[in-house]
Amino acid sequence: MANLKEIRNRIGSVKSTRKITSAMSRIAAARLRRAQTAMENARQYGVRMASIVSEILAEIDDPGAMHPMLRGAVAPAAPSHLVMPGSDTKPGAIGFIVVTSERGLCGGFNSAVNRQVERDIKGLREQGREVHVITVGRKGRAYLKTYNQAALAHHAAPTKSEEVVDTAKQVALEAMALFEGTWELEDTDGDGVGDTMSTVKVDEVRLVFNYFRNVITQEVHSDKLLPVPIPEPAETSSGEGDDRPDSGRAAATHAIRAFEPDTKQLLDHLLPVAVETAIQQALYNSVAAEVAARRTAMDSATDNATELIGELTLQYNRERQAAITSELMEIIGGAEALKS
Amino acid sequence: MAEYLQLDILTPDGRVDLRLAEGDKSGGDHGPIEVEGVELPAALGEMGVRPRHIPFLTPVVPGVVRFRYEGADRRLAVGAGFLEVSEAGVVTILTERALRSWEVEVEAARADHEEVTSELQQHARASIQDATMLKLNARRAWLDAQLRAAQG
Repeated sequence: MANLKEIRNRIGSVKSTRKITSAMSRIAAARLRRAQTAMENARQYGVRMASIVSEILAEIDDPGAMHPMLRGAVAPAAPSHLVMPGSDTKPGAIGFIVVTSERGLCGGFNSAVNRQVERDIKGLREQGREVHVITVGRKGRAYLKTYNQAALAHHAAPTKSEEVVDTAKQVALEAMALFEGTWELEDTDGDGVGDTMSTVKVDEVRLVFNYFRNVITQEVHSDKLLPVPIPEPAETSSGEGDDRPDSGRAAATHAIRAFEPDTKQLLDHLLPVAVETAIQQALYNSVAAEVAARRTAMDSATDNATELIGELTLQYNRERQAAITSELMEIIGGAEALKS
Repeated sequence: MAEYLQLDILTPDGRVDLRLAEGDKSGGDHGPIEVEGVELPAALGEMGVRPRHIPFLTPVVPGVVRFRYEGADRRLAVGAGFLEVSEAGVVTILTERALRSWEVEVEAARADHEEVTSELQQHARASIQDATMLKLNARRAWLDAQLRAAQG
């Protein structure tokens, strides 16, 4: 019977889908442990680096004037002597670094980041600001294309921890170039000669990524990367919740400490590393969050498939019984007719 | 008995297990180790840290970290980073990467080193601020550090 065969085929296809999803969920579970360890290892480094940065920044009286990467970090707006004379960029161009994954099938992981970025970009465009984006991960770039936001640079999302460090280094260099206004647009006609290089400059760089809160919760964080945010003294002493448990300790120990060479030169070394570390942390978080999201998504897909198979089997049995019954009725009916 | 200071090396890959001797498998016991002193490549030159050092913070350049642990001289190649000496006498080296002396692949490092050096010569005329120059110089510094760590 056609209907029976249809149901049988559907059961078959759902079963093979379930095999795939359960395999993916198991692979993700195995990777999750590794990604989580890598992230926790990196977090120690990141926390320490953040505490050093905040310790030094707390020493400085006028951070905005101290280093170009701190310019504009202090609200309200920078005084007129800090605005570059003759700067022709529109005020308030904003840079984004969007961290997504290379592959899909991981639930709301990518779309959460993409939605956040889209909302931000739309808002900024309405204010007449220009937006520049650096993407990490294929999914983010693909989505940006759908609303005409080309990425200035693109990187493959890292999967191994060695790749994280290298990718973070490159992204950090690009972000700093963007912020300092030394980013050169590639010449459009591609001949490489005689073109006036136009540069892009942004006033702020934001980093959007999935923060790994725990195995089942990932949160989209949109952090300000550049100018390097200056911690409020009040905040440092009270601690910033679960993110930086060490900051309280740093505030307690910063009383007497020798810096060598002087603070200015130390900042020259420290700030690029701080930016790089922030990106590293984001990438480690994103990798772990991706695997966790995939595991959750594939787990529930497997559950759904199991449920669907149950329903279909029930329906199949019912149909088969109905077919048998109607066949029996026909035979009995025929016999009765012959008898009389 | 001599005084000790606590030495700790952190990289983005996690804490470097300094207890490990050559040929050991990585053990469970992590955490800072106690040493009598440590030498390391600071931005202003090689420096040594001994117990009761003042609280201190300085950049670290690629080079070799030396210390004595369990009666043996230990060497590690480290990348760029920071040295932090806390009031409690804890010496923390935050670095982007670290390799123990026996983990260095000497042949590969030497080959890379030659390659980078010849590439640098091709760019000899370029400005020292040039992006490729900076990148090549950084790579060479790291390879130098590895080779020196391996050879002692």
